Amino acid sequence: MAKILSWVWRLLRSSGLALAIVAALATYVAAFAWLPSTEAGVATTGLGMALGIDQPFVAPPFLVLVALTFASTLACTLDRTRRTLALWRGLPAGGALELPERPDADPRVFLAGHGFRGAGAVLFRNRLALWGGWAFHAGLLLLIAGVAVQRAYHDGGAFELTVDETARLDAPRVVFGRAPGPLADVDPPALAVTLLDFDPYLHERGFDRDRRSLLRVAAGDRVLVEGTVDRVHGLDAGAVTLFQALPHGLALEIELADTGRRGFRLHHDDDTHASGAFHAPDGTPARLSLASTRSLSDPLGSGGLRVFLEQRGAKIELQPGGAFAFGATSATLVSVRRWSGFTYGRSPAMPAVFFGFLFVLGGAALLACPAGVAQLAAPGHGIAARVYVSRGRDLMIAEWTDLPSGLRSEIRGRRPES
Amino acid sequence: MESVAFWAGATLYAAATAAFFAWLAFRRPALARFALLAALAALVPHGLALALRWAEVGHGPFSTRYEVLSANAFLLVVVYVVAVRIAPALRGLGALVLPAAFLLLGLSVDSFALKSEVPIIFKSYWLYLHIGFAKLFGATTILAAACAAGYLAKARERRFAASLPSPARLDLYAHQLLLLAFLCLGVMIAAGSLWAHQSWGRYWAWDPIETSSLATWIVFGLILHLRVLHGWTGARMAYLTFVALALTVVTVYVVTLAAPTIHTFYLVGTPP
Repeated sequence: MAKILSWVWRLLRSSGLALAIVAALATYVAAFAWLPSTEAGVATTGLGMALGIDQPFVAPPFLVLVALTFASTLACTLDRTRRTLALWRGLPAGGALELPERPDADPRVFLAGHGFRGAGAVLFRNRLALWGGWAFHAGLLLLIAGVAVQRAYHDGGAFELTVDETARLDAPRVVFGRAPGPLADVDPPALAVTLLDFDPYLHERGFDRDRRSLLRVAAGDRVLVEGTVDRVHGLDAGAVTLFQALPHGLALEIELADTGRRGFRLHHDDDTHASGAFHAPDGTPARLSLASTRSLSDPLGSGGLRVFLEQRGAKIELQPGGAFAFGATSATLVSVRRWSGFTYGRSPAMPAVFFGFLFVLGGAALLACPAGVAQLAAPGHGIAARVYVSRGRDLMIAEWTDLPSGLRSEIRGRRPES
Repeated sequence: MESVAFWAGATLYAAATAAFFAWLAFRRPALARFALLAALAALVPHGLALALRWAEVGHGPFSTRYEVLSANAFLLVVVYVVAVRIAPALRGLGALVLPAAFLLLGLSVDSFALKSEVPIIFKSYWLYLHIGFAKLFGATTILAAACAAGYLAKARERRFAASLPSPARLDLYAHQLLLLAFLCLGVMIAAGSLWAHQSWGRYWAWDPIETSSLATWIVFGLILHLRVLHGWTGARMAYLTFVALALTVVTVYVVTLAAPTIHTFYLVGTPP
């Protein structure tokens, strides 16, 4: 068993395997960038389904590649920790180059010309940047772990509200399209959300007309927050954030004799018509529709509206305030109002993803800075200095070896900065 | 005024391009100096044209083809000038960079008169990071490829463009620029994710551009690994730098035009 573990560990540490995993991951991701994608997935063809890749980025091959990337990166990071600590302490590691001793050039001055600083026998170039590779790899680990935890606990769904309507998100059939992670709460958040106002035609200079809503969010009897939400920013209510969604339209507010006032949301059929299929309280299927004289999307107004009810093969026009039979229930059309769609998100582990991004980018920024450690040798040993550089090793050897005589004398005459 | 500034910038880029080519042909250092000065001078009216458009339409240069390509050209020249400031020997790369900038302005000019509004979701500071670093990513990759091209040319014919650095140094510069491009692409992806999370509550949707950007970032990582772990340098690394450039062009332009994506037109600009 120990032998197998040791073999696996050696394999994970090999740069060849790391490259193979990265290449496979890049190929997989690149291939699926070209397939038409939807929220539901891609490649919903028979072949895609048969291969189990109809949702490629949660499919087993992808998850295995990500797991291998994590394992290989972990092995690499643990290896790097020891090496980076040694470099940080001023000990050029195994891959250090040795500058041969030359009577006509001072290595300290030469190295100062390459950005190395220090007063003693150990010189550094961008010392903090020595941690670049380590920070980048550790950041990748954090990011992968953060995304895994975030996906496990994430919860989100959509809901719709008519102006002045209040809905409890944890009530049955309020939230739809919900996709909770395996460790997320079973129920949607216990919040009551009221749409106080909705403007579908908000216009700001430089930007297309868009939606904006005024929401009130309460938990039990306590109002958590009241504020506007548009497609730029969500509205935070405790651990839940509410977002403005795209769908909106007109809703018919109808007073039902048995159950009180209820909103019936209609969806646009075309520019001047909207409709929706519903059931009356007694279960009778019915269709409510609306026709306008001008465009329903005209910010200046849709003009006159006519409202119709179709049930049991008959179509009648409804009048505001007029009573009508909705199935077996007596009903009255009260008003026509606007409705809007929203989504909510609950992602307790999102800071882990932010932190992962931060570490990866910090590591990449440090990697972009050339780093190095040099240990000056005592004269008379044939070696002028042992130098580790994060890049430009060959160039440094070439410049030290082929230092033109003019430049050599110039360098000899220059004082190193400390 | 905007039009005058734009054409003044384009004229100076053309002059810089001509001077760089003349320098390659006649090897007079004065021509290279003039070309660099013309490129620097061009940034003033070009930047002014972009600023005037920004003030007029009320949003940054990320809507029409003119705005997008013109801003790309501006940042490309800015990155080039900064690179020359840090490593003066890179001045000769202007012979590749300035024609590219001039070409981008040429492609943008037919939608100069088009002005449009952008979706409200563009009203986010993350957007400036996302788009700004996307442009920087493109510019640094082009410069890295220019260094790789310079390397190949000089490795074959040492006398080519005498004022360019040695092949070994060009190889190192290409690597450093590729590292910067890797960082810029990473910031672009992260900023885009955080922007999406702020506006929609989800930070990743496997949109074709997102997916292609991730694939490109992984391939950049692969190329950098090949150099750092396996010591690939020289001609092999130069060709891999061209692969990186090709992937950049595919992600920024080809996927945008060929695949259904929410990024449509915002990377290549609304056509006239």
